[in-house]
Order: sequence, then structure tokens, then C-alpha cells
Amino acid sequence: MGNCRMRKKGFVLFTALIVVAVLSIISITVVTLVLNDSMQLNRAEARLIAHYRALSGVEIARALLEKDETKDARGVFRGTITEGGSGNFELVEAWQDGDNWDTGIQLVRDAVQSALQSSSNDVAFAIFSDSSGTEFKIVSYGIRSAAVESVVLNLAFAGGAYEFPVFDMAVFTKSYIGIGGSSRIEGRAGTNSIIPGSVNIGSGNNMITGTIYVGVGGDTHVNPSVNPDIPWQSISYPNAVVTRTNIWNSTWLNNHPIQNLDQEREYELPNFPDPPSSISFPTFPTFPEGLPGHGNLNVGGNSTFTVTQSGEYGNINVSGSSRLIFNLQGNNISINANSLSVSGSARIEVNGPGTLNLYIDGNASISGSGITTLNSAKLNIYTDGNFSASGNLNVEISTLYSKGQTQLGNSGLLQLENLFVDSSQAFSTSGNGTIRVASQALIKASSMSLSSGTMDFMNGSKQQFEIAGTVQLSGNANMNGISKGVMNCSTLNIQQGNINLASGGNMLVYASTGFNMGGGSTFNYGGDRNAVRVNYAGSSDLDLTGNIRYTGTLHIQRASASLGGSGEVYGLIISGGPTVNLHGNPMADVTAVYAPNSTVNMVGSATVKGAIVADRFVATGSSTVVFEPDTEDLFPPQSIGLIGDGEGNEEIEIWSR
Amino acid sequence: MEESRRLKSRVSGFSLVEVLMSLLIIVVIVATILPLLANSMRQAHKNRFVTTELAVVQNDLEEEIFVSTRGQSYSVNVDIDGSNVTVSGELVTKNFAEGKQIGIFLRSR
Repeated sequence: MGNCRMRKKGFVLFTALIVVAVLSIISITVVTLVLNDSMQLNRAEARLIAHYRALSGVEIARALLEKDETKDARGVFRGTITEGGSGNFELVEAWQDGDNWDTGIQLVRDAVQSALQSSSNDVAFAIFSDSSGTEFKIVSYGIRSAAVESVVLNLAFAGGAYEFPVFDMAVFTKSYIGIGGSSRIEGRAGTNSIIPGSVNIGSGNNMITGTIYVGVGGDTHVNPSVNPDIPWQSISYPNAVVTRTNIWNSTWLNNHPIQNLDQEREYELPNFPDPPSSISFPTFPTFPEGLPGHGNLNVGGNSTFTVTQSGEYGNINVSGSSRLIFNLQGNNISINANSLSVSGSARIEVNGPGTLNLYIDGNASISGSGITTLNSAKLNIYTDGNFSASGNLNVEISTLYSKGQTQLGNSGLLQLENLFVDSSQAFSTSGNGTIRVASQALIKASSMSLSSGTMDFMNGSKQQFEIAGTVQLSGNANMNGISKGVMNCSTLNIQQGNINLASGGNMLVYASTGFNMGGGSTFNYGGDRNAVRVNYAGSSDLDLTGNIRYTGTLHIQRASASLGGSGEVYGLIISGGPTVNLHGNPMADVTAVYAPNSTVNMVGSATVKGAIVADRFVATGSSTVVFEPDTEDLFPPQSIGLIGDGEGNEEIEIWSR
Repeated sequence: MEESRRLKSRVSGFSLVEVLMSLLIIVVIVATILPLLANSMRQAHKNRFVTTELAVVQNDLEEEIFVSTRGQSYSVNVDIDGSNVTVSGELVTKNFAEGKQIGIFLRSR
């Protein structure tokens, strides 16, 4: 009995412990499950955010491929998309067509992941293509916390040959062809129109030598015609698309077949390109502070003054026939000054080896005998004010970085490695000397005037001009050796001057309000027709009828144009303006006029050797169009955009992870 | 007999302490566990809500991708070898779960 009671002792406590244990297990299980659920949810949320970041990368890559100026961009990019501001990306590794295409995608993935994880960016992507540039892959990664998601997009471009505008006729119009006087179309001519009289051949010696094509379903007779059996009897065909004055026998009819087009042709005007992007300048350096102060430095007469240490000066004046020598002795010396003036026959000598950095708060004026660098010395001049160089001097500067008005007016040789002008004031050159830029010329100014002399760019250098007002070349000024030139200006006025490209170079000009050439000026004369492109966005009529020479693509957004005369315009003319008037002397080289919404008028003795696409075509005088089968060669891939850029439209789009 | 009564009374007294101790333990444990459980239940409910919202947001964003036209309200600057290129489009964002956001950049088209 006593043992039995002893066994029951602690029973309630035991039960309580069991209950507690069960409750604890249940609770821990529930809490663990919920915590797991939360963690999974957070992970899913992070992965979703990372996924859409990766997709954003793909969108940016596609936008780059769709832009003319970046369609050839290949490589690894990375950056961040910030809400409420703008996204910022950079190219961290540049590739060419064909790079990494055959090596397998894993290498590209590694490169992109490496670019992403070595920075604080959210998105990294790579664009790479096969060697022909028709198949692309975009590999994009997005990251959020520890979650990394990737998206791969395969893009194949095809069908370009079918999309390309067909140039198999000397003249093709949407609505009207009229030829009079003794004008001729040597080759085939056609129109989409079926309206009676849409091809109107007047009396006289005018002629279309090839087959005439009229719109689908149009009446292919000629009105009026002659009765083959009774030649003196005229037959009327009121619905005939082709009208011909004075047909007196059937010979003309026999020699001029008229057919219907197989299908209506579409010639679309390409989108007018956007202006080039702003120049991205190197950072203007912060001027050094705390250098030993020396006050003003005046070196005059026949004296010589030597500087061997960094220092801060007030105004530096070198005048008379004196010399200011910077003896670098293998060091880099920084000189901070309020202003710099070299005048008379004075000069500055910089003895290397080493680098002299001249920081000028105010203005810098160099005339006299200039600046000479010796023994591999490098001279960089950074001026917050105006910079002028004038006189018959030779100056060697590694980097000239000006934030103010910049006048380079020497008649000697000004040699620069880099010329950076980031200013809201004018940039000008004068004198008969040469300004030679070896690496980069980045010029942003209110206006740019080259009134004589030569700007000589070394092959392979980069030239960018962002001019708010007018760029003017006068006094037989020359710009030579343009390699990678971009000019964004209000007006390009080549009043009397020449722009020449380096071998293999190219130049893009965007003129928002005016483009003019005159006085024997030339632009890429004798050069590659595909190397120059001028995009003219202004509304003022374009007149290139003087004694000028232009070789390249000319894209006119909305203005009427007069071309030819004693001038020679070779290449492709794309126009969205109401009229294109071609007149004057024969054009010797192949020219195509692509103005599918415009009226093209040929007057006088104008001759086009190539092809014309227009809405209406009217030829008078002794003008002639001679069909040239190689017309399609005139079209650089980017000139017609997606209609016929040789790459066609995106045909295949395959997504994967 | 005396011995037996003393033993009985000792057994009864021990049971009361035992009950009190048990109650105390249970109360302490329950007091600890209940808020934890309540929080977990709230979190579970919130998780269900966020999961549903995420699915809705994902669905919305997928539909946004296929919208045929896009404006130019957002710009992305791309630095390519020192040249600054601007790519335009829209930054489409969707809010979910009290202030959280998922966004995608869609190029202008």
C-alpha cells in the first residue's frame, strides 16, 4: 500500500511536464515553420527584384543595339538603376564582333558576374555577337542582397535583304512622273499610282528608255495612242496611267513596254537621327593648395629665371627677350598662378624629364617665342579663364584644358596631345600656322571659328565638337585627318575651307539650324562616300549649288534643298523636306536621291547617275537620270534604319536563364 | 495507525505543492509561448498576404513588358569609352506589402 502511494507521487508534475513538452514542441515547430516561410519569402522577393534588374539590363542592351551610335557596342556593362533619378552605366570591358562567341557562354557569364560582384552595382550585362554581327546574345545579371538572377536573350537579325529598298529603276515615285523638254530617264521608271496621267511624257525629245511600270491594276495603255491599223487615227484611253503627247505612229509604243508592278512598293522615310550625345570630358583637376607662396613673378629684359620647385604665384609675366626656365630634374612640378603672360620675344622652357602642371586661375596669354619642352618634359596647362596663343611661335603642350574663351592664333606649330575646351565662350583659331592634336580634341563652346590655318588631327585621334552656335571655316581654313569625328552644332558654315578625313576615318555632323558650303569649299572631297554623314535638322532651305564638293550622306529632315549647279554632291541624299531641286552641271559620280515623300525637280542640265525615289518627279530642260546598278552600295547600313539596314529586323528572339 | 496517518498527511501535502508547481510551470511556459505563437501566426498571415501580392506584382510586371509603346520619362546614361550615351525609357515600378517596391526599366519604343 505504501509503495503504491509512493509510485503516484509526482504524477501531476510529470503530467505537467509532458504538457509543457508537447506545447513547446508544437510551438517550436510552428515558429520554425513560420521563420522558414519568411526566409523563403524574403529570398523569393530578392530573386524577383534581381530578375527584373536583369531584365532591365537586357532592355538597356537592346536600346543600345537599336541606337545608330551604339549599335556596334560590344562588351560588358554595369551600373545601377536608381529610382527618381537616372540610371548610370559604364562599359567596363570592350569587345569586338566575334569576341567570346565561340568560346561558350560560361566565360561571358563569368565576366558579367565578376563585373557585378566587384562593384556595388545592381545590374551587369554583356552584349556579344558573331563575327558578322547578325546574331547577338545578351547576358544580363541582376543582384539583390545575396540573390543573383540571370537572363539570356538570343537575338538574330535576318531579312535585311528583303527589307532593303529596291533600287532597280532610274526613277520610282509614289504618285507622279513628269518629263518635259529634252529630259531623259535612261533606264526603267515606275510609279505606284494608277491615276490616269500619273506618268506624263510631254512633247519633244524627252524619253524613258526602259520599261515603264505603273501601279497594280492600272491601265497600261498610253493615252492617246494610235490605231495600229489606221495610223492617222487616234485612240483615246482615258484611264491610261501613261500619257504621251504627239504619238503619230506605233513605233514609240512598240519600243516602250508598259507593265503593271507585281505589288505596290513601299519606300519609307527613315527616322531622322537623334543629336549626338554630350561630350564626356575628363574631370577638370582641383587646383593644388598650400604650395609655397612667391607673389608675382616678373621676368623681363634679357634675364633668365629658373624655377625648380612647386609654388604658388600671383601673376607670371615673361616679357622682353627673357626666359623663364622650369627645370624639372625628373620631378613633377605644380605651379599655381593667377595669370600667365608670355610676350615680346620671351619664351618659356620646360626642361625634363618630368611633368610641369600649370594651374592658371585667370587668363593665360602666350605670344612671344612660345613654350619649348626639352628632354621629354611634359607640360599640362589648366586654365579656369581664357587662353590665347598668338604670334609666330611654336608651342608644345601635352594637355591644354581651358574653361574659358580659347583663341589659338599662331602662325607657328602648336602641338597638343589633348585639347580639352569645356566652355560657354567662343573657340577660335587664326593665323596661318598649324594646330596639331595627337590624341583627343574635345571642344565645347558657344561658337567655333577657324579663320585660317590648319587643324591637323593625327590618325586614330578622336574629335568631338559640341558648339551651341555656328561652326565656321573661312580663309581657306582646313580641318585635316578627322578619324572619329562628331560635330553637334547649330550651324555648320564652311564658307571657305576644307574638311578632310584620315584614311579609314569617319565623321558625323548634326546641324540643328543650318548647313552651308560656299566659295570652293570641300568636305571629304574624293573620300569614301560612307565615311561622312551630315544630318541637317533645320527648316531653312539648303543650298549647295556653289562651287563646292561634298562626298557623303546628307540627311535632310524637313528643309527643301537645292543641289548641283556648279557644285558636286556625291553620295546619298535622304530628304524629308517638301522639295529637292537638282540643277546645273552634270554630277560625275553616283548619287542617289531617296526622298519618298518629296517632290524631286530636275532642271537645266542636271544629271543624276544613280537612282531617284520620290513622291513626285518632274524633269525639265536637258536633265538626265542615268540608272546605275550599284546604287545600293551608296547606302551605309545605318542610313535607312530598320527598313533596310542590311541587318533587317529582329527575327528570332529566344529567352533563357 | 499513527504512523499510517502521518504518512497519509505527508502524501496529501506533497500533492498540493506538486499541483502548485505544475500550475506555475505551465503558466510560465504558456505565458512565454503564447506571444511567440501569436507573433508566428501574425507572421504566417502576413507571409500569405505578401506571397499573394508578389504574384500579383509579378503578373503586372510581365504584362508591362508587352506594352507596345513606352515613353521617355526615365533616362539611363551609359559611359562608353568616355562618350556619354543616353538611353530613354520608363521605369515601371509596382508597390507591394507596405512600402516595398519592384521596378523594371523598359526602353522607349
